[in-house]
Amino acid sequence: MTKGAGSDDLAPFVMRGGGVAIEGHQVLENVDLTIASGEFVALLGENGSGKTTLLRAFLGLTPLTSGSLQVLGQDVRRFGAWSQIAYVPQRLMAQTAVPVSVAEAVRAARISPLRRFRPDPSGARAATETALHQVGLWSRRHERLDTLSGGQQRRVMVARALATGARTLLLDEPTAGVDADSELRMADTLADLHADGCTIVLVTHDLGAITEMADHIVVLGGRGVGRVLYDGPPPPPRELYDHVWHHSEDLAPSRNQRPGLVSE
Amino acid sequence: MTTIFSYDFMQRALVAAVIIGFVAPLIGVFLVQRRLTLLGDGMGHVALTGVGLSFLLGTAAIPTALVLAVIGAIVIEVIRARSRTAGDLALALVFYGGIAGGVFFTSLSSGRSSTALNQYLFGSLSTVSSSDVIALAVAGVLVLITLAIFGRELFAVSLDPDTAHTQGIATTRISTLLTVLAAVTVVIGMRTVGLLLVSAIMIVPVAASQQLVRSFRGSAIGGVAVGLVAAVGGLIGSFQLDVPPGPMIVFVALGVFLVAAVVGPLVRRQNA
Repeated sequence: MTKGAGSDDLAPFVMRGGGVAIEGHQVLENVDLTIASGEFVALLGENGSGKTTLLRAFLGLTPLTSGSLQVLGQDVRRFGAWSQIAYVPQRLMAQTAVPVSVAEAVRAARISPLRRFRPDPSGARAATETALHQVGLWSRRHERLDTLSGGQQRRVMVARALATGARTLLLDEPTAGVDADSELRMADTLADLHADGCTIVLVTHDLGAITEMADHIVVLGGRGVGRVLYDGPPPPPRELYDHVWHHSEDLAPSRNQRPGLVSE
Repeated sequence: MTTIFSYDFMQRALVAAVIIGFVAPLIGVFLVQRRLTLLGDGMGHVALTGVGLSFLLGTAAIPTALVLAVIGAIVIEVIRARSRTAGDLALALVFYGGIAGGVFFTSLSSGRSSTALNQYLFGSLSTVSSSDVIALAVAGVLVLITLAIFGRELFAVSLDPDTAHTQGIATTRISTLLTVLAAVTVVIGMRTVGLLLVSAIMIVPVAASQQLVRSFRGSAIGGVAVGLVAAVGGLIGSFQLDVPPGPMIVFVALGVFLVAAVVGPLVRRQNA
């Protein structure tokens, strides 16, 4: 599923036989995955199935111990255009020791070595304003990040990713612990980006409103080692449901327990 | 009070104090954010070896300490990049080695007593020379220029190294730069605040100002204001009471922190 033209057609991520071992412990094994341009990918799997590790490998934060990874057509070890990819980590940024305002946290997304000697304050301000409007937090821009609710802080993180202007977004459980209002807003924002042709890879535990928008489902699982159990269009095969939810009920918000599946 | 600064040595001490009062909180705000508040202490220990060496070799204290502190900073970052646990141990080893080296070299050098070392440990009003002032000013301007160029990237890395990496920022190099800047700042402060207390003028003004503001920028600007008040106020107190300036500067900074810690919650409630 590709949209657009030119460099947009390059697959953001192509992994072949990808493996990751962290401190001698195999976390991912033999992963073959292609994330095509413009796809909305939901990355599912129980706790410890390696979802976050896979995202971090995509970002070059965790090196592969076997196999290969092409990022936008280039070997990950040589890839340099990281600013084309935005990342929303799972953990919040709010545990800052020094106060950081909402606007500062979002605006930080525009910081780049490329702008080291010619900063672009008006461009950064405009991107910050647009992104904060998109997540509905413009009116809170002067407040301390750590005074916002967990859901609002996640929206700030999403705004930060939007402000980069990147066309590929990796989000690690953006809806964990998010209130219903924030989840709906986030779903709207992601739907807009998807319609605009952006590539979205989303790690999640629950098949809520956001996962239902996905046009590509990947289920990771396996006994202790993360492997690809399913890679295709939605919905994932029924026999894998246990892998998606069973061991994560304590984490998944109960209001979203298997929505959309009951009807099947 | 105006007469205090009619003394030449006090004018030199004042310039030195203003430089450190201005520069230290700007580095400190990043150290606080990265939870490296004790790094300045460690760099001070390493600089001490430089001071001891300068006594022994007869070289100027500030450049010698600067070289040692910067080398120490890079060694620490190299070890830390390899392993987190080894990094913690490496910090400790470098710090202890620094103090031991300082006392050792000072004792070896003839004609220099522990009194000479004391001037660098707790600061000194009367011994800041004109060439010291020039060296401090050059170092201070270099730190400010570096911040003007790399400050934004330092902010991004201190906020979140992972997302900073995805923005193309070389996080390891930027972290090393911060450690080197801290080392330079420590040496800038050693004549007035002293190596044992210089970390305080980096950290305490930021701790005070962040009680009252809602942004990183506000914390940095407020920190500079508190740093300048502490440096100048401490200098005057030091002259009046005839005690080393280091402890007085730290007392003033701690006093401002106490007031801010009491007033802060009230201010925040009003803003909410």
